[in-house]
Amino acid sequence: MPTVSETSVAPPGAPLLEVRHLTVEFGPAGRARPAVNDVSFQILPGETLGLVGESGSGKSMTAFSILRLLPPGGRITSGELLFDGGNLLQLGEREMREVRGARISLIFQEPMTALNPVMRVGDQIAEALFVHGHSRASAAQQAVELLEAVHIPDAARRARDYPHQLSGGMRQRVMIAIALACKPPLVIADEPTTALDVTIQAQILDLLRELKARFNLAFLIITHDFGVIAEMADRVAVMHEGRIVEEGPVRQILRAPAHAYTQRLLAAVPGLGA
Amino acid sequence: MTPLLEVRGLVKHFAGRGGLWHPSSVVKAVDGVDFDIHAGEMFGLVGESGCGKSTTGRCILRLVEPTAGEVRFRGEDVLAFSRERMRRARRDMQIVFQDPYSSLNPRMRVRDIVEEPLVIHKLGSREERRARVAELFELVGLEPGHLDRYPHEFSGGQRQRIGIARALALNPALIVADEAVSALDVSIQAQVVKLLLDLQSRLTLTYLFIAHDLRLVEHICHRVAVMYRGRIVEMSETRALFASPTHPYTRALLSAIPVLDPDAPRRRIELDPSSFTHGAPLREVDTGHWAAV
Repeated sequence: MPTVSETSVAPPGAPLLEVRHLTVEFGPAGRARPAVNDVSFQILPGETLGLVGESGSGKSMTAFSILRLLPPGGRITSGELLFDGGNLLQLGEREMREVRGARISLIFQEPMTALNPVMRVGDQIAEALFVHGHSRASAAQQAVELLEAVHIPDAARRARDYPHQLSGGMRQRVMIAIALACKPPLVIADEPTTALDVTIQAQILDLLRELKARFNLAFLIITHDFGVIAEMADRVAVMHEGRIVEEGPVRQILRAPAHAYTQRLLAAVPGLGA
Repeated sequence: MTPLLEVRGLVKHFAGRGGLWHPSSVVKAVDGVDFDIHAGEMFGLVGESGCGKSTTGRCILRLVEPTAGEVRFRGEDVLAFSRERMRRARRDMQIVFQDPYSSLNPRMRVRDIVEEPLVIHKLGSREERRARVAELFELVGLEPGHLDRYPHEFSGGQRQRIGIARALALNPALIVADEAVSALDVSIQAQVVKLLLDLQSRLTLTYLFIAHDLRLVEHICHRVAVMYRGRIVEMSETRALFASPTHPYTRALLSAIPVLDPDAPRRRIELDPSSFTHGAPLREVDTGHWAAV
């Protein structure tokens, strides 16, 4: 398989993604409240950053901003999103569509709602390749290879299944296959295992780690689960009320959190706290 | 001493969906479950989705009628109760549901939601009921000044407290907490768990704590039973179960819990279904530690 990021123009050692002073607001101008408030962070090529926080902290809105997929009413009011040497905020919608999936892809939380229920899963993976310029025949062939890469047994036959014929864990594998189809250098995973049972979660986390090493992927993992953070992240940013209150290497955050909010959050985790 | 709750050979089969040309299949949601819960205990029932843990909880309260088996509460056969007797028994056995958004009637003021069990059971005068509702609100840590609000005016954690206040209205002895804190953010979850533990010691409550979060169960339950495909495969005091899991499924399940230390060794155990006989009876492998091996 081809390696990723051959086209990257960023110099070696430079961050793959740099978010600078990102602010996202919802509601009418004048009375708007920021959901994301002056957020800055970097992700290096091949690195995994865990963005952790509770519901309403702004972690998902940060992720959706990077792909410029904010829900209606939300808008980026200031900041820069530097990726591959350019600013994503200056791209038109057509150029942005070329970034989504091909350069930055997204793994959603809920595979049952994110997959198209009336389309065979192989076709859904092939579609991701087809819209980014692959021929239909090559896309269909690669779809099967991708299903093999995410360890779906009997991939050629399973490619003809519809989502409802797959278990929750297999559906999440299909989502991952779609996200990886174009070998993007950056994958955003929004609560990738939250809807899954713990044994399935363990398998999916193992798979993500394996694929990360194989394709040298960088991950932005959005989660509320410190277990997922401990298993996956190199660095952690803790979000609270729209701001990043603390950022650092995973061991430092888990063992010696500096900010009072991080300390409170970790104290509430059964098995870590009291 | 008689246990508060005795469950013997509990079975619940649902008619599966058959097609026009296919005979309907049977889903064995609960397929022969036995356990006891003693007064004052926090008994954890854990397992993955579809294992039958919630159906077990609902069968105990007869919110779904079991297909077979025996449920004894204070020694009395709950499944033999008449409708009227069952209604009275429900004063002693209450349930707190998972979703604080769908389990409260959005059109009722929270005052009426909490009072409703007292009205149904015709307990107390109007004034006595009002006083009791205010007392319950305070007990679960809510502002009595907010009694006339509607559910949507409360956060998820507050709504769960309302559900708990309603469950406590009739002074029950047993509370089935069905994933009662699973939908909450971790800091809110910690507060609600603390509330459940406080209430337990203040009101001498007994809990059947149904959950999929093994770390939480390890933290708060006295004893725990692991369900897999409709049966309990292992049951023991919590510490012994987590320290020396015996059944292959328990081992696989515990090995899948994310380790909170990035440097700790990770040894995932994959479940090999051929390594055990599903349906084997529970056997005492150590004092008070039972496993279906």
